Amino acid sequence: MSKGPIYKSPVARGVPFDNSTNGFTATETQAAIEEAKLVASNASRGPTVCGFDGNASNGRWLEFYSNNPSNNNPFIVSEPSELVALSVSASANATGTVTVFKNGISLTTISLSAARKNRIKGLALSLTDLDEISVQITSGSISRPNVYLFIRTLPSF
Amino acid sequence: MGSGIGYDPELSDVTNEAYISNAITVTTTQSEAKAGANRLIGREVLTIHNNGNATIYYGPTGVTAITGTPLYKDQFVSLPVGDKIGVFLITLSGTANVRIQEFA
Repeated sequence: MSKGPIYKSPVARGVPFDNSTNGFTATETQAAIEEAKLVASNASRGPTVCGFDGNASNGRWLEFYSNNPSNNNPFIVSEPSELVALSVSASANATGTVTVFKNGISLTTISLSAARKNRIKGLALSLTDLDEISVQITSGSISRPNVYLFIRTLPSF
Repeated sequence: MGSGIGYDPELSDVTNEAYISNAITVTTTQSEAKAGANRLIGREVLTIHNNGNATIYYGPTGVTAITGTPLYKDQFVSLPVGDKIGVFLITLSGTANVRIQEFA
């Protein structure tokens, strides 16, 4: 082996990362790559939507597809996922509660109180393959409700 | 080449006398980077490969995690140091399996 100068092999943790213009907090490359993975894995897909074309009063099952109440035709989860946020809108100010069920068991709720919209974020509600999601008005009434479920796929790496 | 002269210019830029290798465990107490009980006589190159998960730090005797140069997991360094110079290793916490090679 040649004596030569000092040689040190490069590894990601030893390579500086400039975070001054990109919103990263990492200062070295290993951490930057892991931070990018975390951000990407936390991103949700576009919302899954259910609603009802009319005044939805207490007990009404909302529909993922028109004229198909979700207690009979639930949304079927296709891969390990998380419900990370949801929102609700109404065609007029309303007071009522929406319950999201997973396999017939209450998963979470969202309410309107004399309002037309609301949202909940920062959730991490676990879903797995073939879970059945159904959505129901469980108190009050909401005019032409739309409920938006934001689901992200869990990373497999 | 004249008798009594052992210099071979073709090998002048490589080590060609001896080569030893070993694995050591580096801890929070400094230990010397050497493959045997003593430094290889006539050593010309010392290589250190961090085969563990903990970052190790290398430097002269008395090295600490504050004063030493870091060698991260899976990182390797080749130092052109002879047998008069000791290179010491230490971790900040935990232990690391480290592969040492000496060339003379």
